[in-house]
Amino acid sequence: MSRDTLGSFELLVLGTLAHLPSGAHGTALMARIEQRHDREVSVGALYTTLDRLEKKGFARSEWGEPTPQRGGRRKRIFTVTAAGATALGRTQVLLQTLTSPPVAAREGC
Amino acid sequence: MDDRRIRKLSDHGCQSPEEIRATFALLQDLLKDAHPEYRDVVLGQIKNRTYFELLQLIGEMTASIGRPGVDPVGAEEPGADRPAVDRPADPPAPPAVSPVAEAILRFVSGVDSEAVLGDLQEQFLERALRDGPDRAHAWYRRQVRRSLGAFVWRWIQRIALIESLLSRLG
Repeated sequence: MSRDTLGSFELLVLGTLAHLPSGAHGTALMARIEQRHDREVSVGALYTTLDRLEKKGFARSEWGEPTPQRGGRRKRIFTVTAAGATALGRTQVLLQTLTSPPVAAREGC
Repeated sequence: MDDRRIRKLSDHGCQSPEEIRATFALLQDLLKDAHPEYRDVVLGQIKNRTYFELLQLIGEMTASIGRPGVDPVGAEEPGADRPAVDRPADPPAPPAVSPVAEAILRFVSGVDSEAVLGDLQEQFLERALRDGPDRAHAWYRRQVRRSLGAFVWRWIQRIALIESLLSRLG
């Protein structure tokens, strides 16, 4: 996958993250994906994808505070970068182009 | 519970109002036989809490009042003649996955291990409250099994990249 394009799972993760403007940690993202797309995501797949998105410059992360319900472990909170938002927009345009019917079909020819 | 309160409880806005209402109802259920003063203090405390802090509070309460043989809060007071109620067992702890599998997960997930293991534990508690401990245990085991594959693959890719760089250098 080239550096400026999004794979389908990357699109799902980044698109979900974009709807959470204040950022989200893994649990919040997994819950949101499961709720909205009825898809159970493995924490491994999620973190390897977020890692890739970070390397591409589409997301960034910072460590949050440790909490007792996490066994004293810190959250890693992810947010979408400006480059990530641009990539999402570009992918959206591409998908619209691909899924819209050809001009001839629209005109009934 | 009003909408403003639900929004305040929501952590990153990813819980539905139904989930928050259900969790709050669980907390109220746990408190129904508690001493009225204690109940007021606890309900007063949750005003500024997030959803996950609410879950944590439920975990603490089930730990303190739910153990078999331990009287419910307030029930030991003279004259507190309350009917016996079924109380939840101890708060569910993550299942004992193979220590080897967990050690490998910790190793291959590298810098993510703290976040990964924390997310698993946090979601386990949430699912145990929502779906019951059996389903939460099954989910936890499935997550560890599936995540190992993803992390091992990333680890192999990193090793391959390092080897490739070393061979170029020479």
